[in-house]
Amino acid sequence: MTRSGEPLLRVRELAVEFSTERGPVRAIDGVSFDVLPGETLGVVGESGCGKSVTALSILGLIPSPPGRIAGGSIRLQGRELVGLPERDYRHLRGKEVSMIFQEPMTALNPVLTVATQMTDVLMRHQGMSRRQARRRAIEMLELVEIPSPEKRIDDYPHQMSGGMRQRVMIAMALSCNPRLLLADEPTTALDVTTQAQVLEEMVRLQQKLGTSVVLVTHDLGVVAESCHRAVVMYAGRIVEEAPVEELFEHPRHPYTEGLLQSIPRIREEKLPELPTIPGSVPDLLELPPGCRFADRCYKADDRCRQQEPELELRCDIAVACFHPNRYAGCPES
Amino acid sequence: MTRDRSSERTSLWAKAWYKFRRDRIGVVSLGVVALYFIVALGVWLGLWGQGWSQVDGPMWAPPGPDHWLGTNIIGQDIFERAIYSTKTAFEVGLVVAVLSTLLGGFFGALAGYFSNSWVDELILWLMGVLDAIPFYLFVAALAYALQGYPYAMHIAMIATFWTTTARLVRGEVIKLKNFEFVEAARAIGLPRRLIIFRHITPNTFHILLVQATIVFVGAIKSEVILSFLGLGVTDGVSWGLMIAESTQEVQAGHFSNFITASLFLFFLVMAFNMFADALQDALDPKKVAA
Repeated sequence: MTRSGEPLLRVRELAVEFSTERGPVRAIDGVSFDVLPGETLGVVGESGCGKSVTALSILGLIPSPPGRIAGGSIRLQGRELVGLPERDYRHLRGKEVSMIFQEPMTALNPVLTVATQMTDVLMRHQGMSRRQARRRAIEMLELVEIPSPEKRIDDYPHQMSGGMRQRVMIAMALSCNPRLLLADEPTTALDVTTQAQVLEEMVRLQQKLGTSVVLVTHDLGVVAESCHRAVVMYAGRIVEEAPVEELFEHPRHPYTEGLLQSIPRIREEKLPELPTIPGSVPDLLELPPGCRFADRCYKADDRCRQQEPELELRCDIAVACFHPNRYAGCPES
Repeated sequence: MTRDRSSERTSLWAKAWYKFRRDRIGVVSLGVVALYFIVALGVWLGLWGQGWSQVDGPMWAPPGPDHWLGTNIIGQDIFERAIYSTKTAFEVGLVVAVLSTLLGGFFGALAGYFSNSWVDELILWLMGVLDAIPFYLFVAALAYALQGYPYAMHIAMIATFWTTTARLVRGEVIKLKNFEFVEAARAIGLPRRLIIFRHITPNTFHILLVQATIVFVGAIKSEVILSFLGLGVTDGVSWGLMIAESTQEVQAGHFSNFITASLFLFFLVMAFNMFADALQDALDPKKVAA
């Protein structure tokens, strides 16, 4: 990789397998990426491409059985996480790596107050007394701009709005100053205006605390707004990785190109119909021998159908395609 | 777990109480149960019902100012005995309800959280074995094994009644453990002990509470039957013992003992059942949260 600095998180050739009635399925297969300190990495793809599985496997939360990590390595600050005993993982979760979930409605416990849920984490990881933990929790709520936090902290989740709950989730996830925050579709369940606020909050806090973020989403708009780099996943594999501006300006992989074209644009009035990518995601149990995207790709040829392209890195951009789009400025072979 | 909890909890409880208050049958039945409870408390404090074992009248005296509901076959006051039996009933009901609910909640939560593992298998097997033994046979065996120990009946009831609660809690926990908030609790590194007993089990509270009221009634009814069979109360009097006495009296045409005990039992069980129903409606989380 040409980016400077030691990565905070280094994922290499990660594969996660789920056993099903029809045999084992590789939900992700050979996923590799780095996250630098203070960086926000977007993980984009459609439903079922393995985005969430990637995030969960970093936290060691793949439901097992049926799931298991079938290979590869996940290193956090040089420490191997694959095969780490559950006991050690528990000290890591919340303290070093934290996670925000999609549904703020169900991710907070309905019968416990916000105070209880927040202080539990702090008392466990920071060894605080209940009183100290409460003070810290109020500070965190203030940080995510919850009005009169010293009162709202004693609320039950059902007394809060969706956006507020998601902000509580963010506050809780960041309360122990983790180095890495995994956000699994953090704004999907919110309405658009709240989405923007919550996202802004996340970016602001991330800059302030220097946390690295892995942002899993299917929403390219969210990626454009808040990420430095992005990884595009398709059917359990990474097809392209690039800095966000580059990804949006010059998509190399035909899938990325298709994704970008299928975003509605208000400015362009001429398009009679929104372009879509024909076909659908292949069944992970019956993968084609070649490129997984070949059946839907306008560029696919015989080679694509027989041989699987590897992720190749050139000028800070990695693409897994035999016929990537070429742009000026980067000397490609 | 102690301070300002009362103010924190008000919202949920206030809503449940508000709903409960609008249920007229619920309120009336609660009143009846409360009345019984006061009677039982008075006996326990020694305020009344203390003359239950005294022989202070002729055999089978008719109801009158001396003996409001007459006397039994050896001249004991039936009203006194029925009043004292209220305490016996509450004692059995409360002890069995509280302990079997705790036991059922504990094992149910464990089995549910570790479903499909050996922990679950073991608990399910234990419940299956206990459920397979006929109840009265089990109590008789225990009473015999414990040789006159006055709590043999309680132990037998707790040992058999917790399984229903455990099964209900197990099912609910299996559902709850896949909720996102449990995954979130795991994602912030909470230990399993906290996740099971602090984050999941409180969500089954409505089941535990309603199940406790059902067990309470079940225990009182079983006590009557067991006492009638001579397997129950040995160190006092109960409605079951009164009914057992009355088998000879009924043949002789004296019904007071039998009717008194039956009516005392009937009104308590009836009121408690209706109270449990109203409570269930009021605590339904879907309706409370709205």
